This record gives sequence, structure tokens and C-alpha cells, in this order.
Amino acid sequence: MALADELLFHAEKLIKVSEDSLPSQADLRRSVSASYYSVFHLLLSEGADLLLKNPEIEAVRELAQRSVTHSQMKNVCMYLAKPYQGLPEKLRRFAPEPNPAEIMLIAKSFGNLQALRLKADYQIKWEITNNVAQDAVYDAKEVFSNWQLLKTSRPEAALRFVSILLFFDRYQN
Amino acid sequence: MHKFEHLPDYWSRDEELLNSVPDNLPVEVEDIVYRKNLSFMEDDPIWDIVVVIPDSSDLKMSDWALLHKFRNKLMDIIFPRDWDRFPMVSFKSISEAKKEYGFS
Repeated sequence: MALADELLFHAEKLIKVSEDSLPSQADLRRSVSASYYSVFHLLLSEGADLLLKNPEIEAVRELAQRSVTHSQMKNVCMYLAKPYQGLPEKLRRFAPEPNPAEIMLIAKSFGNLQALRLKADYQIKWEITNNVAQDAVYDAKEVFSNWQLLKTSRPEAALRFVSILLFFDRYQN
Repeated sequence: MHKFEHLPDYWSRDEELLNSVPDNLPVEVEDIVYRKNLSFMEDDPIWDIVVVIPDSSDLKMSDWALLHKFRNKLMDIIFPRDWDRFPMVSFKSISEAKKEYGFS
């Protein structure tokens, strides 16, 4: 099982309510974090697969996947959550037109998940609830399904999307 | 609906958001309020939108499909009001909303 799938599975497992126990605050916080990281690794690993000719060379994959920071991905997702007309001028030539609904949904979910992950990991006084963790797991699942849909129905848009994710924040024009 | 009478400074509600609630949600929507805010730690400008649901809501994973469809609808309404402000929607029970945001 790929790391992204494992993390999503783990996120869901952590918040399962059993007959004799409820998820603890630690379980819920780790679940939100795992939901976010499942999406983070899904997009980077799929991005490397699409962009590299020899993704089986582990070091090359790693180079691609580790060349992007969380804040770079968030910045790009802030742009891509909008329709094509709302994109910055210098991004338009790289983005698919129109910007597919799947990309806008993935971008919105990524922004939400990253913000939730930061709160879950660092805002100690925030009492996290099962609903928040379920919301995050569902968000991650939506990213997985929207990515599959995009990849199969709009392969060129998928390629443009991952290229922007991996490179645009450092693009100098 | 259990609309809060007192919202702290900077919070507001509007009819467009309240009227967007579909009939088929797995839970009652008591109130929808929002404010302009900054995200936690990163300090990015966001729309902070809170959907208030009853305290007794026992949501299951299967309920989130409809809740997310609704969440996306709220985002689509509010995002164009300021494209530089990322919309963040959270579902809070009445008592969570009181405790976390000071609504009353």
C-alpha cells in the first residue's frame, strides 16, 4: 500500500469509536495530521510519477518530492482554488482553461487540511472534536477521488496541475 | 433555528448564506456566521465561516458527503466576495460555538 493510502487508512482508524473507548485528544489530533499528510504525499508522489520518465529511480523521486515545501503548496493551492479568470496573469499560461472543478476542490481541501493540521498540532487549548477529525478524513478522501477523476478524465489538466504544484512558486519570469 | 443573539465584534451573518441550506442535510443548521480573519500561525487572510449544528448531532462518516457538498456551496458563495481571502468552513455544535467564539 502506498504511503498516502496508509496515512488515510490510519487517519480513519484513529477516530473509530469502539464499544468501550472513545478517541482521545491525541488520537483526534494525529488523525487530522494524518489526513493532511495523506493528501500531501498523494499529490507529490503522483506528481513525481507524472512528471518523471524514470520514477522508479528512488533518488529521483525523492528529489522531486522533497523540492516542495508545505507553504509553497499552500500558496499555489490558494491560486488554484479559483476559476481560471481569477488566476494571476503569470500563472494562466500554465493552468488548464477552464480550471476544472476537480482542481478547485483539491486546492480548497488542501488549504483547509493544512490549516486544520496546524491547529491540531500546535493549538493546545483547542479542544478538537470527533466532527473535526471526521471532516478532515472526508476532505482527504475527496482529494483522493477528485485526483483519480482528474487524472483519468483530464490527463493534460492533471499534468499541468502537478507541474504548477511542484514548480510554480519558484518560477521566475 | 437557534440564531445567536449576540455575536462578538467582526462576526456577521447574511441571508444569502442562510438561504443556501439544502433540505437534505443529515443535520439541522442552527446558524451560519462568518468573519474576516487570519489563519492560525500562517497569518493568511481567510473567511472564517462557522456552521452551527445542534449539540445532540451524532455525525457519521457517511454524513460528510452531503455536508461537504454544502460546505463547497458556502465557499462558492463567499469566495468571490474577496478572492484573496481563503474560505474556511467549520461545523460547530451550539455549545462548541459558544465556548470557542463567545457567541451567546
